Amino acid sequence: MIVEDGISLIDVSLSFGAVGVFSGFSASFPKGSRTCVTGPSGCGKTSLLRMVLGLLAPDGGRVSVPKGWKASAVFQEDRLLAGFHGVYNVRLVCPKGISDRAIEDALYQVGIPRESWYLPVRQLSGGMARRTAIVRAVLAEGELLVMDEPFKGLDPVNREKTVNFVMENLRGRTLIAATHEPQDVELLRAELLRL
Amino acid sequence: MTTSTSPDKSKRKRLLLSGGAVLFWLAVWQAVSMAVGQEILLVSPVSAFRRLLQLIREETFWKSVFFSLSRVTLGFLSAALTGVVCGAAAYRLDWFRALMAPPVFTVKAAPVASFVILCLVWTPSRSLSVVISFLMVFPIVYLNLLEGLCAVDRSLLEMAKVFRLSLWKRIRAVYWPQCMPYLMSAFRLSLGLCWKSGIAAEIIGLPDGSIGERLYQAKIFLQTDDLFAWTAVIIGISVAFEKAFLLLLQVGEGVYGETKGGK
Repeated sequence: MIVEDGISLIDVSLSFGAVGVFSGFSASFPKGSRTCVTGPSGCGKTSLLRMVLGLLAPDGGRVSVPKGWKASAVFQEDRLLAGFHGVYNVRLVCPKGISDRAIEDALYQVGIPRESWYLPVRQLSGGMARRTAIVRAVLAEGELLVMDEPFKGLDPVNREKTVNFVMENLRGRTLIAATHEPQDVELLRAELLRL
Repeated sequence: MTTSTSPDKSKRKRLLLSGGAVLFWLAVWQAVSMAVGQEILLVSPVSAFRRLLQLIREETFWKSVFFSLSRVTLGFLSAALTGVVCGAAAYRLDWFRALMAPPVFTVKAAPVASFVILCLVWTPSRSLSVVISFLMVFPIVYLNLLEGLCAVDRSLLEMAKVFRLSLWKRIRAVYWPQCMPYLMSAFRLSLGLCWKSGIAAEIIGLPDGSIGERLYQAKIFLQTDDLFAWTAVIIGISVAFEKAFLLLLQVGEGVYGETKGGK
């Protein structure tokens, strides 16, 4: 089904060598919807997100994203600039209107202590780097937020803080998140797409 | 019991070690010179130093230094700039990389002397050290930068694409930090090389008023003290040039690096 105001994958096929991932796959993500994509490892969750982001072209079929839509993403890996501090990493993708103070507030909300805000990212713990990557994606402007296993490796307290931060700052964006955790579907109040 | 040493102490130790090594080799030089007993064959460090003090009081000394320094610097800077521009272009354009491969390989592999003779046919000897320095530095900067650009983390480039970072932000945040070590290594290697080759070219081409000409005269008139004094001058300028240029790069990196750690 094609949605006028949203993202559609129509009859998509994709394979890596002899391994077929998608064949005649269709899905739609209406504007402002929240969807969690689940399924066993290797079922194509990350490939689906990469196709939506325009980083991977399907072998057949069509991926339709409304013209002018901007995306932001939390990748499976953090993909932060290791030599730069967290505030800089976030500032790099933010619109001009967002001040360093606002970025610091956001980092505080997800539980990153003040003394770590201006440390090079390579000195942060895995959990702190993950949360920095989430803040970066959430504060960036755009109509689409794509998250690949965003909360992996976070302890329950920081997980809750981070989920709350995401939900409070979605601003009506379309959210597509790949996850292995059934609780993420509930926390993000999302629809489920099982692959 | 503590085994840690402060940075000041280890710096002092390093300085003492390198100073001691220099003194040791000067002593060896002095001893061999005394053993040979003929200053024309091997001048003593004392005589070479005395001659150097005489030379720096002459106006022609500074003219020669300026002549060679300005030309080698011009050759180096133009090669560094061209190498960076061509390296970036070759990274983006496959046809340009293919086009550049044969000349870069030729320049890299051909002996300096061949180029010097060829350049003497084409250009006046006064420009020789500019051309030769350029030819020595360009392939190193070009190839190192290209290697650095090809090694840039693909996943960060994807991140930059998704977040639609401007070209300037991509260069500053993704390309620059990852290419900097490659460029620094290229500059370290080529800074010494451009001096050696530039002066070698002057010795062959003998442009009037150059350091190369002064070295050649020292050889003709068997002025071994002049030869050693000028060699010391070349080493000194080469080291100072290298340190100044790398310091300039580090200062630039430091100013820019404010965003790396501190607020």
